[in-house]
Amino acid sequence: MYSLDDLITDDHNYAYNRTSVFAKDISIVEKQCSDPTIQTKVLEARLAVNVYDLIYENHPVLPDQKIQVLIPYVRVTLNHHLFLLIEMVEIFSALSREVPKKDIESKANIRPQFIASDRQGKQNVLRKVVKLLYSGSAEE
Amino acid sequence: MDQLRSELRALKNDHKQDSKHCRHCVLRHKKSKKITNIFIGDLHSVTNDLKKTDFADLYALDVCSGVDHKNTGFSFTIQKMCQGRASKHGDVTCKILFLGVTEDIGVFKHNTIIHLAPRFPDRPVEEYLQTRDSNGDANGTENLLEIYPSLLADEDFVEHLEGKFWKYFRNHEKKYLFNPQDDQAVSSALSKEVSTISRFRKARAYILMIHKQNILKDLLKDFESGKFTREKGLNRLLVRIREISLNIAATKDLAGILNVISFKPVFLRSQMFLR
Repeated sequence: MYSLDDLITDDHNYAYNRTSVFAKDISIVEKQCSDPTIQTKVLEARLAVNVYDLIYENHPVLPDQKIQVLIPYVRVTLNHHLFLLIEMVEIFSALSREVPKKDIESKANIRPQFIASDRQGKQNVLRKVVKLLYSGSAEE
Repeated sequence: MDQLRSELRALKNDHKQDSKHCRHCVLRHKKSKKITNIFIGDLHSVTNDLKKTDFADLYALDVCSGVDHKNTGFSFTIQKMCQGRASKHGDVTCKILFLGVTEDIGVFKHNTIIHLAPRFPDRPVEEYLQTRDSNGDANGTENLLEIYPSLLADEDFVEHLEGKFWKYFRNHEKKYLFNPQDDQAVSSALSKEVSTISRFRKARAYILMIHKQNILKDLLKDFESGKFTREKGLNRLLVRIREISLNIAATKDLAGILNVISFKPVFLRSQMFLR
């Protein structure tokens, strides 16, 4: 069991679950119908993502989630064949606006409860407020 | 809701100016629900010691192996087409060495800062701009789109983008968003500093945008305290750019760009409309 004082240090990463994703080569290549030997690399990229999820519920100080995305290079080439792609991007971005927000409560239920010791009584009020704010009563 | 308001009031009454452990300040400024950092480019190009930052783990998978440091970052090319084929000449390119977007969403805050390093410093930025202006031409036949912001970022800014980001943002908020008279002094001091700093081989990053947004404003009304109480409901956005330039080597290249940018979407949309 970690105490709150232990958690308020410079190295927080042991309080987080980590999810890593690494894609070495992401590319979109466009070939011409008339001559398939002619091709344009529309997109070239590399991607590394780390997502840190806090294992404690309603922690008063630490960030609940940390997302780090590193794209060492991304090269985009635009020519006059690509406006269909732009239309598609517009359609997808319009769709993403209608996606409902994630249910914060259901996610919070999975996490273990943070148990504080008595000497952390001062932080309890803060934790309580954070909990109330997260429970959605603030948006009523 | 009443319970929440009373708890918030209790925290506000407990506010201690300049105290490290003030619970009011922790909830108002420090506590984050989600902090997101998106970097395009190699962090090594803008920081001296990656181990001091929170992002060393990103490099655990040897993410930059096989990539020349001059090819890192964001590159956007508008390719000129000639009779259905890509022409070797007349492309317009925009290269950005490093772009970093940091977003911090808290209980009462939604803050964003964008950092940008324009290009790899073959020469110091000042020297490059001077020679380019005196020649009155772009680099040979290359058409370049260039963006130079005006606010110089701290040399060790990468160290402040996660755990200490709230403090970093607070400093910049006070300096640039709420004290415009100081802003002039700061920017003149920075411009003097550029001449010495730009001699460094390491690329210098700039702050392109600072955005402060308050959320849950109804609750914030009763919760805000201190010097900026009157500013509580206001969102602030600051974008400072020193120069945006598109250097076109030949007139026919401009015609090529217009052909790519304007004609085809109109053509496509009119086709869809007719159906």
